[in-house]
Amino acid sequence: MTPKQRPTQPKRTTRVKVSGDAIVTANTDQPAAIRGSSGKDRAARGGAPDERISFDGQQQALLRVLMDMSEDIANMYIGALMARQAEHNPDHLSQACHSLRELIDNVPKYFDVPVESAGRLGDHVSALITRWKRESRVRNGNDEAVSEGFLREFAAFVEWQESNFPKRREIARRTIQEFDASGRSLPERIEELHAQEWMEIRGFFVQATHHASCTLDEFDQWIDEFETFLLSKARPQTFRTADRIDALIREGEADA
Amino acid sequence: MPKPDDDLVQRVLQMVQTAEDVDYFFDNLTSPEWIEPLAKAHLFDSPPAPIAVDGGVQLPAWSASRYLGRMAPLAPLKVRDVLRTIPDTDNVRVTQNLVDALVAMPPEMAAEFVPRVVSWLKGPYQLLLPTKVSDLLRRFADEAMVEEAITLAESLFKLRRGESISVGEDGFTHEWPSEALPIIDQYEYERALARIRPDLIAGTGMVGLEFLRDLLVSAMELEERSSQSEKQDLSWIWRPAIEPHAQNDPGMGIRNVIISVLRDAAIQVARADRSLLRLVVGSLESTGWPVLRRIAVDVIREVAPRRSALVSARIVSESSMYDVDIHHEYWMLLNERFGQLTPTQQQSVIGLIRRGPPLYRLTDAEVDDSEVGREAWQARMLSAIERELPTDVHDWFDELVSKGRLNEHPEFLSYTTGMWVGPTSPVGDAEFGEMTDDELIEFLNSWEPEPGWRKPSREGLGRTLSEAVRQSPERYAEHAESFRALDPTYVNAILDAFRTAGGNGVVFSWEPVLNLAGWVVAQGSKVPNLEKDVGSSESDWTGPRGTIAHLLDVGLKEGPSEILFELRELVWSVLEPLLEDRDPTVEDEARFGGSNMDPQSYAINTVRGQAMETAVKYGLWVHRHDSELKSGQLPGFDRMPELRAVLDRHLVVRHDRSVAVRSMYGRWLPWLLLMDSNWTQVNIKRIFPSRQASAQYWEAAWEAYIAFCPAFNSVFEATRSEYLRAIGRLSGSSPDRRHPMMYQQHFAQHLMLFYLRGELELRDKLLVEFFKVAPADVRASALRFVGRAFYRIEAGEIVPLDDPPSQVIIERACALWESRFLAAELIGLDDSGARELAEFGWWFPAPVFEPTWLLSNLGAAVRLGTTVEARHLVARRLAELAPSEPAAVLEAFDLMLRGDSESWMVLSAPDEVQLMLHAALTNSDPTVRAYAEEITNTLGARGFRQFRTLLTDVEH
Repeated sequence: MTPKQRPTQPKRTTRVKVSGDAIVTANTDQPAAIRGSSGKDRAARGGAPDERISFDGQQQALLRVLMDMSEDIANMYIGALMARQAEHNPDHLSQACHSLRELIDNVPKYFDVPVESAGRLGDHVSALITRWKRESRVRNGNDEAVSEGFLREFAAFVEWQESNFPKRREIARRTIQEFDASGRSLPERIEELHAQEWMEIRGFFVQATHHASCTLDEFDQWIDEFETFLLSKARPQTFRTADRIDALIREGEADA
Repeated sequence: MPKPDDDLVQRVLQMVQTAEDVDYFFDNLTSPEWIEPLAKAHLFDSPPAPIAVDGGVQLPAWSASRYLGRMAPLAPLKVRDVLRTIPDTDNVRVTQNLVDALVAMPPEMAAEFVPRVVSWLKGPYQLLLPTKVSDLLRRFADEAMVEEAITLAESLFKLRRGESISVGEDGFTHEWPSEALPIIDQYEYERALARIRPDLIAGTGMVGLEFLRDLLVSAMELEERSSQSEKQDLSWIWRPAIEPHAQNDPGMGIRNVIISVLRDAAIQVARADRSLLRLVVGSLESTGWPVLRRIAVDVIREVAPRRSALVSARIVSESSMYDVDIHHEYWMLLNERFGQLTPTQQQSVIGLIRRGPPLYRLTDAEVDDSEVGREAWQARMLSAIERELPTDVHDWFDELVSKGRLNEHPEFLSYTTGMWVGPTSPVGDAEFGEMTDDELIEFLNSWEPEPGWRKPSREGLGRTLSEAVRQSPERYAEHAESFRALDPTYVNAILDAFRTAGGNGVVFSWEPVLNLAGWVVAQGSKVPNLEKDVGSSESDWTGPRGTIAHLLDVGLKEGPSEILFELRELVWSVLEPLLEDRDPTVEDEARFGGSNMDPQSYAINTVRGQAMETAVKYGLWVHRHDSELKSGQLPGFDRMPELRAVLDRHLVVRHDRSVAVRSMYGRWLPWLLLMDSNWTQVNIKRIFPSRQASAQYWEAAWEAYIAFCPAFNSVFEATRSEYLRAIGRLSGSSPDRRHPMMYQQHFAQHLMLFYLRGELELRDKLLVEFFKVAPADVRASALRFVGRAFYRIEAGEIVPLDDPPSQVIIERACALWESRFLAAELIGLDDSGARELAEFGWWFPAPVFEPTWLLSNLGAAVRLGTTVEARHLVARRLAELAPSEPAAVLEAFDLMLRGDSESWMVLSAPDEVQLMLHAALTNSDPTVRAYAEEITNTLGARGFRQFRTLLTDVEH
C-alpha cells in the first residue's frame, strides 16, 4: 500500500519541551538526546543501545501541534518514532504502528468529539462464529435450515456494523474539522474525501499493529503521509496552496 | 479548447486542505464555466448550517453561494439550475447570496424562487436578507411582475401583535398597550419599506397602493388602543400631521412609518395619472379609519388641480369641517384651497364657520366652556382663510383674536413645545449693576413674588444676584455686611458667588465677607417667622451655613484669593459654630447616607461634615503661615489648640455619632500626621476603632483614607495593622457603597506601592493574605497597576517614565510576577488565576524589563492557558523585539495565536503583526524564516490574505 504524496514541511531546528521528564533537543543535522527525569542519559544507565532521535522540520512542527493538544498524545508520537528507530527490536515497526493507531484513536477525545463505545469488530464476529458453530442446520429434513434466533442475531450484527462504521467516519470527519487551522468547516464533499484518507492511514497502522506485512520503507511512507496530512490541516501552507489554486484557475479559465 | 472540467475540479479537490483554501478558490473564480463541473462534484449540495456557540449562534459564510451571486449576471441559466438543487437553509448568510443571484438574473427567471424566498424570510435570522429581498421586489416591480412583487411585499412587511407591557409596582401598574410590530427587524423594515415604495408603486400602481393601505389597516387592527368597532384611532394625537412635520414624533412606532410611505405612494399614484385621484381617495376612505381619511384629504390638497370638485366637496362639507379627527388636514386644505372656491362656495364655508360645530364636535377643553370653546373653534377656522376674508368677517375674526380666542398654532388641536422652565427673575443682572447699594438692598427687601407657576421667584432673583456678585466681587465685598437681614435665599446666593469668585482666583476683601458670614452663623439655623414660599429655595439658614463652610475652604487654599493670615481669629470664629452644626442629624444620615451615598460624599454635603474638612484646611493654612511651625520642631497642634480640641471632641461618639464626620479623619489622615504626628499616632486607634460595635466608624474612616489618599510610607507605618484588618474584609461585602471596585483597586495599589518601595516583602503576611483572600478582579487590578506603573501611554504611544525606576524596584516587580505565576502554575490555572496572569499583557509593553524575561514569561503564561490583556500593545512590543529576538517572539506570538481562535490580536494590530513577521521572514536564520512562514500561512488559513505579500516579497 502506498500513500499519496504531499509537499513536506521545510526542515528546521528548535528546542522543544516535551514533558515534565523528557527534554528533546532536535536538530536537522545532529541527533538529539532524550534524558530522563534524573538528568542522566538512559543509554548510560544501560537502557536501549541508542535512544537518540532526530526530528526533521515536519516532525518538529507536528510535535508542537500535538503538544498543544496533550503531552500524552505527543508522547505517543515520540514513542512511535523511537520504536521505528529501534531496529535492534524485531517487533519495532509493529510497536511503532501501535503507538500511531493509539494516537489516532485518542485524538478525538482531546477535541471533545463524542466517541461512542462501538465495540470491536473482531469480538462481534467471534461471537457470531461461535453461534454459527452451535447452530443445528438440520430441521424438518432441511439440512440448510437456519434458526430464527441465529437470524435475529445476524440481523443485529449487520445493524451494528452498519451503524458503527459510518460513526467511525463521522468521528474522523469531526476530528479533521478540529485540526483545521481556519477554524471553519470544509464542504461536506471534501470533508468526506479527507475522512476517507484519514481512515486509510489509520487502516494501515491497524493492520501493521497486527503484524501484517510492513517494511521500513512502507512505514516511512505512511508516517510521512500521517504527518503531512495532519500538518496540512493544522499548519497549512496556505499561500503555497493559493499559488497552486491560482495556477489551476488559470488553466481552467484560459479561454473562458 | 481548455475549459474547467471534471478532471480539473478533482485536481482542485485534491489540492485544498482547509476551508480557507476552498474560499480562496471560489472567491477567485471569474468564469461561470466552473459551475457545472463544481455542481457535479457536489460542491453546491451542502450549505453550512448555523452553528450553536456559547448560547449564541454562528452563521458561517459560504464561498460557493458568493460565487453563484457573482456569476448570475454572466450565466443566469446555469446559476438558476444550480439554485434549484441547493437545499433550503436557515443560514441567512447563504440565502443572502442566493437572493443576490436572483436579483442579478432576469426577473422572469427568478420568479420561480419567490416561494423559497418567502420561506427564507420566515427563518430565525435576518441580517441583510430584508434589504436583499427588497432589491428583488423592486426588480419584479420594475418589470411590472405584480404578483411576485406583492407576494414578496406581503411576506417582507407582515406585522404581528407585540406584547403589552405592564409598568409600575405596588398596585400602581399601568398596562402599556400592545403595538403592531414587524416580523423582521424594525430598522430594516422601515428602511426597506421606504426604499421599495417608488418602484413598487411605479410598477404595480393601484395594486401596490392597496397593499400599503391594507398594511396600515392591519397595523391599526393590531393596536390594542385602537377601537376596532368604532374605528377610533386618535391619530390626531399620536400623528399630529400627515405631511412631514416637526410635530410628528419619528419614534412613534411602525404605524407612523407606514403612514408616511402610504401618503407618498398615494401622491405618487395620483400624480402619475390624475384620473386616478378620485380612485385613490375612495380607496383610502373606504376603510373607515380616520387616519386614512386624513391621508385622503392630504392627498387632495397635494394633488388635486385648481377648481377641483373633489376639493370643493371636501371643503364645503359640514361633516369634514366639524370632524375633529381630520382637523389638521382639513385646516391645511382650507388654508391652501379656499381661494380656489367659487364666491358661493366661500360664503357657504363662512356660513358653516358662523354656525359653528355642535357641542359633541368640540374638544373636551372647548366643551368646558361651550361659548368660549365655540369662539375658539371659529377663530381657529377663520385663521386658515384670514387673508381672504371679507371685511365684516375679518372684523369678527379680529374681535375673536382680541378676546384671546386664537391660540398660537390653530392648525393643530394640540401642539407640543419643548423647553426648560427654571426659576425666573424679575430683573436682569445688568439692572442690578445699575442700582446703587441702597437701591439694591431696598429692592431685595421690598420685592414680593406673585403666586403662580413660571412667575418670577426669589430663587430666580437670587440667581441673577449671584451672577452680578460673581462679575464684580470686590464691589459687593466692600458692602457685604449691608446684606445682613436679607432673605436667606439672597444671602446664600451672595455667599455662593464669593465662593465661586474665590475658587476662580479673583481677589476681593475677605474681612467684610467674613463678617457677613459671621453674622449668618450667629443666627443659628432657624429663621423666625419665615415660611418657605414656592419661589424660595431657603427656608432657614442651613443652606447659607453650608455655603460658608465651602467659602472658608476656598479662602484657606494657597493662592491669590487666600484669606490674610491676620484674620485667623475671625476665620475660626466663623468656622467653630459650624463644627457643631446639627446637620447631619442621625436620622438624615440614615436616610440619605447609608446605602445611598458613601460617608465621605455625604459629609461634604452637610454643614458639620464640610466644616470638619474646612477645619483641616484651617490647620494646614496655619501650618503654612505660623513661623513657629515652619521649623518643624513643634507638634503642630500646640500652636492650634482650638483645632486639637475639635478633633478630640468629634472622636467621642457620644458627642458626634456621624459616620460621615468620622470619614473626614481618614480622608485627611496623612495631613493630620503631617501637622501633628504625635497626636495622630496616639489617636489612630480612636480614628479606626477596633471594637466590632464601632465597625461603621472604622469603615467610614478607612474607606475614605484608601479611596482618597496616596500611599505614604509614614502612614503605612502607623496603620499597618489596619491594612491587615482591611484584607480580612476584602472577600466580604464591599465597604464602598457606590464604587466597590474603586476602593478595592486603591487598596490593592497601596499594597503594591509599599511592596515596590520595600516596605513589604512577598512573604509578608499582608501580601500573602491579600493574594489569598482578595477577589480575582482585585488581584488582577494589583498586577495591572504594577505593570502600568512603568510607562505612560500618550496618544496611543508607550512613553518611558521621566524618572526611571531603580533596578531594585524593577527586580521586585519581576519577583512579584514570578511568584504569582508560580502560584497559578502550582495549583493549576483556574479562572481566578487566569484573570491575574492575563494582566501580563500590561507588563509586556513596559520598556524597563529585559526582553528575554518578558518573552519567556509571556510564553509561559500563554502556555499555561492565559489569554493576555492589551493584545494590541503586546503585538506592538513583539514587533519591536522581532529583529533582536525573532525566535522567542515567534514562539510567543504563535502560542498567543493558538489560544486566540477569533484572532483578536491580529485584528487589533495588523500592522504590528505584519512588521513582526517581516522581521522574522527576512532574518538570516533559516529556522526562524521557516517558522515565520509557517505562522504566516496559518494566518492565511484564518482568512488574513493580506499577509500573502510578505511571502512573495521575501521570495523576490
